[in-house]
Amino acid sequence: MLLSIIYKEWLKVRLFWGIALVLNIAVFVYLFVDIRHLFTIEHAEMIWYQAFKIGTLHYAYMKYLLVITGVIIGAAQYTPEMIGHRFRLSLHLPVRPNSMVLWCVLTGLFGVAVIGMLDAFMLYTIIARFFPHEGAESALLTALPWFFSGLIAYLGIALTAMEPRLSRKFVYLAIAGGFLCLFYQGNDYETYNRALWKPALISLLFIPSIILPAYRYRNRSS
Amino acid sequence: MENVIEVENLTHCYGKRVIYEDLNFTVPRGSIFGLLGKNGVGKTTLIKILMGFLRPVSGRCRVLGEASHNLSPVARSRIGLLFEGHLAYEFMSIAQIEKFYSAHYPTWNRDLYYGLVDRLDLPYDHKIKNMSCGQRSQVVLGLIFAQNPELMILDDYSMGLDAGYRRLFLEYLSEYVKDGTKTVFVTSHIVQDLENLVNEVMFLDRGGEILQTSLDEFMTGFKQFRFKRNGSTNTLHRDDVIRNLDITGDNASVFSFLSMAKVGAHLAEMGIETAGLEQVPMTLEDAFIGLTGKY
Repeated sequence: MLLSIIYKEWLKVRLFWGIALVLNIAVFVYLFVDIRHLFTIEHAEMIWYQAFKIGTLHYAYMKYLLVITGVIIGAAQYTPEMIGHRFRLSLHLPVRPNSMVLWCVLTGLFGVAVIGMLDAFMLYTIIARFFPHEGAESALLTALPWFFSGLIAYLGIALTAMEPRLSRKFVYLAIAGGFLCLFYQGNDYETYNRALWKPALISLLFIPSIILPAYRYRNRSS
Repeated sequence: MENVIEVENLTHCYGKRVIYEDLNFTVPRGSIFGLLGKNGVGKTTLIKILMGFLRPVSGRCRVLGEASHNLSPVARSRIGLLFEGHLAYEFMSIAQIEKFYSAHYPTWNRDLYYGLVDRLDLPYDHKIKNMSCGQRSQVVLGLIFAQNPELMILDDYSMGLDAGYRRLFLEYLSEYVKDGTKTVFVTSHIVQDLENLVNEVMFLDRGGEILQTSLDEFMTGFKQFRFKRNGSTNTLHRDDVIRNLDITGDNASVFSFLSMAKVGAHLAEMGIETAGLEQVPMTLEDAFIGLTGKY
């Protein structure tokens, strides 16, 4: 039964997951071309100086890439369920509603996480091609909060979509926005090295919290 | 007889508007139960409450012996539910939706589903979102039949369907219930369709006033009497004897559960001249309008 729920979620998101994947790959192709171009027009020592002395992030434009990915997958997954109250079809399935909702959410999260891991791989590979191994590791640590923000964006969309009351939707959007801001404090290398686990742990609370709007959806009085 | 649905003292409001107050009824196992009422009386609301999608203000609803707001997965697997407007996962194709639902029901009958869907003459990869309302209704109906549920709840199955699709729907439904072990709870705007299908009816009115009876009892007990309109008919009004009245053109009609002799005597007491008083045969639709009014 749970495999069947994953199948349903996959049918909804596969096109948009594919679009998000192409978008992510395109951005990393651009990153590769951009850094290669930089090494063509600049002396290597100047790039070294920019990157490791001034602290220029040559891959800063991928900051919001996973956020966009999370929003795309979340919207693709929950919009068809919420239009015309089709979510009631899922709630009538012979599955415990909380399990059903959690499996939907975990499927979407997995979709975002797979793209996030691919991004991490591409980032490491591209940076390692032009910089020393330590530079590539540092890029991963720098970008780690941005990957987390993708998961938060997805969970924020899920939370907002399932909530039946409009005023609460805005509250959930604001909470998700606030959590996203937690991951974008500072523009330096490895800003979150010693602190990332705290917002990351708190953000995990988003997963069980989705039970609440789903419960409110099926127990509303109007 | 065991009841598959039990509603006790149900009260529900939307804001200050009372939908039902102290509504009580039961649906016995094996019955085909028609819920009739005009638009806005709360038929869909009642189904939402029964299926646990809406929490009532007060009262108790039990479906297959379980509280409706907390139906277990096992109970839900025994209920086939048709949502108003033939709701379906529109992003799925004919084959995908069958594959999805079949995993949830142990007694799934694939042949029943494809038996209905093959009539559409569409490829199995045809998306539901690209179907007409009638075609979608076939798919949804096929899914419910394939589920082989003990209790079927059909919320306005006739919405958006032409006469051909409605007839097909009713033929399949009649076949499905003929062994007498299945229970159907059905609402429809096309009252006439239900005449040959249901054996129990409940009339729902604004505020929840109801009449629950067998179809036979209702059709034999509820009568329409017509007479020539005259000056005295202006004083006609509803009371314990005259359930409803209709004055159109040259004729006046009264609707009552009492015999023609008693109604005639009552009209005479009221000072109404009843020249040519006669009983008029009614269809279920006539009787429904006679009971609930035209608007």
